[in-house]
Amino acid sequence: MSKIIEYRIMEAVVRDPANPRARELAAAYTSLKFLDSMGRPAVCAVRLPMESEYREYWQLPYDDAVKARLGLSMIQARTILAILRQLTADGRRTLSDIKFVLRDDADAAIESIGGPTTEGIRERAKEIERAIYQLSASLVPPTLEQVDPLILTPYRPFDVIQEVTATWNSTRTTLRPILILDDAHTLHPDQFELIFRDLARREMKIGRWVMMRLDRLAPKTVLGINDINEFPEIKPTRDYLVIRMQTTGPNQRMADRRAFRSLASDMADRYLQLVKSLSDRQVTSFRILLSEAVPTIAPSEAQKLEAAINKDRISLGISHDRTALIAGLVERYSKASKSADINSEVKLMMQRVLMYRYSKRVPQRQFTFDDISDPEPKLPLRPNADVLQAARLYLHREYNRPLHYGLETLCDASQENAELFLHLAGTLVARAELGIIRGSESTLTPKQQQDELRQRATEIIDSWSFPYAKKIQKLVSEFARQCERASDNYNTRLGGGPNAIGIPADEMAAQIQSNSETSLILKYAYAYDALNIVPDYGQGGKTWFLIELSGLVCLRHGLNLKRGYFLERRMSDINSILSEDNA
Amino acid sequence: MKLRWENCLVHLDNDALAVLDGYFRRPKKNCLLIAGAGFDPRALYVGEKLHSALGDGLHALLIREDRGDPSKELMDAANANEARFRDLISSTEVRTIDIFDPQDRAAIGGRKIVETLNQFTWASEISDVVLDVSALSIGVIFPAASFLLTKFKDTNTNVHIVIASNPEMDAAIVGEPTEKAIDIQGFKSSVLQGDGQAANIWMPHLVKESGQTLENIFRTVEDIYKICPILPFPAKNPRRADDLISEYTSTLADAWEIAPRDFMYVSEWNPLDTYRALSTMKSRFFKTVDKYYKPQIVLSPIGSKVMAVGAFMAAYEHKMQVRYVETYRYDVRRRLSSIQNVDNIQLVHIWADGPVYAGIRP
Repeated sequence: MSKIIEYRIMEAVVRDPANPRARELAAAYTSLKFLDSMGRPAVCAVRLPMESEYREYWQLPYDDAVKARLGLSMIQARTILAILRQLTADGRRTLSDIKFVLRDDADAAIESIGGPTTEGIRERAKEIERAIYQLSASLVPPTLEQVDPLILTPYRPFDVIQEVTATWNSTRTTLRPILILDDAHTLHPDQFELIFRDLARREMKIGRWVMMRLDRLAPKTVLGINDINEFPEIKPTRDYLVIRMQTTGPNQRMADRRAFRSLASDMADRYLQLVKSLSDRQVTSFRILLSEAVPTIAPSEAQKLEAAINKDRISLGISHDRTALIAGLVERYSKASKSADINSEVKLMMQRVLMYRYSKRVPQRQFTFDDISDPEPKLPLRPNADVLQAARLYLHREYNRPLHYGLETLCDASQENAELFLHLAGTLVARAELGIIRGSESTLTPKQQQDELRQRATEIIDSWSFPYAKKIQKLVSEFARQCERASDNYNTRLGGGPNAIGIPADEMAAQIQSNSETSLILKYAYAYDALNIVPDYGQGGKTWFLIELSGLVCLRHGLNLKRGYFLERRMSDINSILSEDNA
Repeated sequence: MKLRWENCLVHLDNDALAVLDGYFRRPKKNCLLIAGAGFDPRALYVGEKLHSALGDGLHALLIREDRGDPSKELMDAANANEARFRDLISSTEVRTIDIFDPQDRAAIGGRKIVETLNQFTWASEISDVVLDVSALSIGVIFPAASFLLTKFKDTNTNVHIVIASNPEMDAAIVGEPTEKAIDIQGFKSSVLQGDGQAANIWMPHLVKESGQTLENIFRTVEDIYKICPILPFPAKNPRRADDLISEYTSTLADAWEIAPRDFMYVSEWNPLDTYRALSTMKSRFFKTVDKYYKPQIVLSPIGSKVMAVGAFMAAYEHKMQVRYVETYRYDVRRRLSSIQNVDNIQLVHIWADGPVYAGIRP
C-alpha cells in the first residue's frame, strides 16, 4: 500500500493519462489531495523499510538516548537520500532542479544538515549514513570515544525542512515530504517508543506515517481489553492518529465485510487480466469462474439420507403424522426463503434436524409402535436460517456436499485481508487455468472450489512461521475439534455450528493484564489472523471475550463461516491446551 | 587476484580423523575447542577425538544457545551433553547466549556470541583454536568464525574449523523458523542508499522442506538482479539436486523466474568447492556490472553446514551480505536416542588460518 504513493510511482501515473488504470489511480490521488489543482503531485512520499539493521542499533553498548539518536539520524539521512532519489528517478530532473525549503530562523541547524544547498544536504546525509552504517556493521562495536564524531553531532533535517520544490515540465511545483516507516514493529519496544515520541512532535512539517503489525503493541492494547494510551505524554488525535487495519466491533465488521466483498471482486478481476490463458479466452470476471450452481449429492447418497431419516423417525418415536407435519413446515419455509440452494436433500436434512429438535421438546416416553402417541412440543418447531445452516453443515460433513464455494464465501474466509484473498483466489485461478489447458470447462464446480480452498488453507496454516506458531496451530486445531464435536448431534441449538470460543470477559482481562505467555500467544494469533476477537460480547446477561476461529481454520476444518455461535469455556481450558504436556 | 583460501588445507573423513589424531598429538599443543553444547548428538564427537589426542592440553569453551522455549527432551539432552563435556575436559567453561531478546524476540545471537568471545579471557599460550560448528547454528557460526579469524590474524595461533555432518541427523532435526529474515552480524549489505542503484544476486541454498524460510528471505531482498540457487552436486544421493528442483518447481519457475543456467552446483562434501564457485561468481559479476550499478551478492546458507562454511569463507573474504532466518525452536522428528548413531558422520577439517600459510597468503 505504501509503495503506491511513493513519488516516482505517482509521477509515472500522472504522466500517463491515456492509460485508464492510471486515470483511476490519479483520481484516487486527487481525492486524497495528493495532487494539486493542476494535477501535479503535491506530496513527495518515500518509504523506508525498518529492516533489522535499525533494531540492531539497540544492541550497541551505548546509552538508550545515544542508540535512539542513531536510529533517528539514520532515518532522517535516508529520508533525504530517498527524496532525492525519488525525484531524480526517471531522469527528468537533476539535483540542481530540486530545492529544499528551509526554516528562516535556524542557521545553526541548517549548518548541521550540510548547509542550504541541495548538494550540501545530500552530501551530509551520505556521510551520516556511511558513518552509522560502519558502526552497526562492525563485528565488535567501538567505544563512544572511538566512533566518528560526526555521529554524535546533532543532525535533525526534519526540524528545518519545510517543503521541497522541483521542476515539473516548464513550471515549478511545491511538494510536502511524507516519510513512511514500514514494518516499524521490527524495532525494540523501548527504541520504538523513543523514536515514535520524537516523530510525534507537532513542529515538524514533514508528514510521518508509521506502519506496523499489531505485534509491537502490548497484549492488552492489541486485544482491546483496555484501550490505554501507550505513550502518556503524547495524545492520540492531538499528536497522532491511530488507524487499525483489523476491526473488532461486530457492527463495524459487518460493514467491513460488505465493503471488502466489492473491493475483492474488483481486485480479482484485475488479477485475472494478467493470467494470459484466461484473458485469451475472454475470461475477465472472476465471479464467473466460481460456479454457484446448487450442489447436489449422489443419488445413492440421497437414498441413504432418506433411509437414515426413516430410521431416526423410528428410534426417536415420531409418528408418521408428525413427520409429515415437519416436512410441511420445511416445504413452506423453502418456498418463502430467498436461499437458492434449498433442494430436496437440503429439505430432507432440515427435516432431520427438526425431528431431533422435536424429540428434545416433548416429554421422555417409552418407545412405542403406537402411532397415536404424538404429543405437541413444548416450543413450536420453526424452520429458520439456523436450521438451514445446520442442514448445509451436516450434508457437508456426512455426504460431502460442498459448504465453502462462491465469491462471497471466499471473501468472508479472507477476513478483509487482501493478501490472503489473493492467496486463496490464486489457487482457484490456477485450477481454472489447468482446466482450460486440459480442454475442459474453466468454471469451477462447488466441489472443486471446496477441495482447492481446503487444501490451500491447510498449506497456509501448516506453513505459519510467526512467533508461537506451533502453539497457535495446536490451539486453533483444538478449538476447531471442540466446535465440530459440539455440533455432532442433530439437535444442536448452535445453528450452523459454532466457530468460536467465549471466555468470561473478566477472566480474560485478568489473564491479559498479567502479560503471561498465554496473552502473548493470543496477541500473535490475532495479529497474524489465526483468530479474531470480539472483546465485549454481551449474551445471556454476561460479558464474553469471543475468540473466533479465522476463515482459514474454518475452511480447513469444514466449519461454518457465519459468525455468532460460540462455546462457553474458561481461561483454564485454554491454559490447559497450551500447557507443555499438551502443546 | 589471488584468493585468500586458494591454497587451503582441507581434510575429509579419514584424512580429517588423521589430523585430529595425528597433528594434535604433537608435543606442546595447547588447544581451545569452541563448540556447541546443545542437544545435538554430534556435539561431543569432535571433543572426544581431540581429547584422546590432547588429553589435558585440551580446553573447552562451550556455547549453549538459549532460544527460550525448548522441549523437555531437548533440554535434558543438552544438559547431558554439557555434563559429559565437563567430565571429559576438566578445563571447560560454559557460556549461555540468548538467541532472542526476551523482551521482543528479536534475533540477537550474532551480537551475543561476539560479546561472549570478546569478553572471554584468552590464554596467551594457545597454539590452536578449533571451532566445531557441528552443533552451532548459522547465526552463531558466521560471527564466531569471523571473530576468530580477525583476532588471530598474523599471530602464531592456528585457527581450525571442524564439521561433523550427518544428513540423517539433519533430516531428523526440524526447526521452526522466524518470519523475519535478517542479516548475520558482520555480514550486512555494503550498498547504502547514498551509493546509487544496487544490483543484487541472491544465492540461496535450496534445502528440502524449507520453502517458507526461503520465501521469508526472498520477500526482504530488494533490487534483485538475478537469483542463482545453489544445489548440492556431487552429493551422497546423486538425485538430491533433481529432487530439490522438483520440490521447488513452481517457486523457481513462477516466483523467481529461474532459467536452467542460473543454478550453481557445488559439492556436498567439500567446502572449498562452494568457496571457489562463489568467488568466481563474485569476480565475474562485479566485472560485468560495476560501472553501472552497485553490485552485491546476497547469500542464504540455510542448509548443509559444509556448504555453509564454504559460503562463510567467500562471504568473509569478499564482504558478501548473508541473509537468513533464525530458528525459534528445534524439534526432533524421532526420539533423540534413535538418531544418536555417529557411525555415519562425515568429518571435514578446514585449516583456516595460522603460521602454516606464512608467505603464501595474499
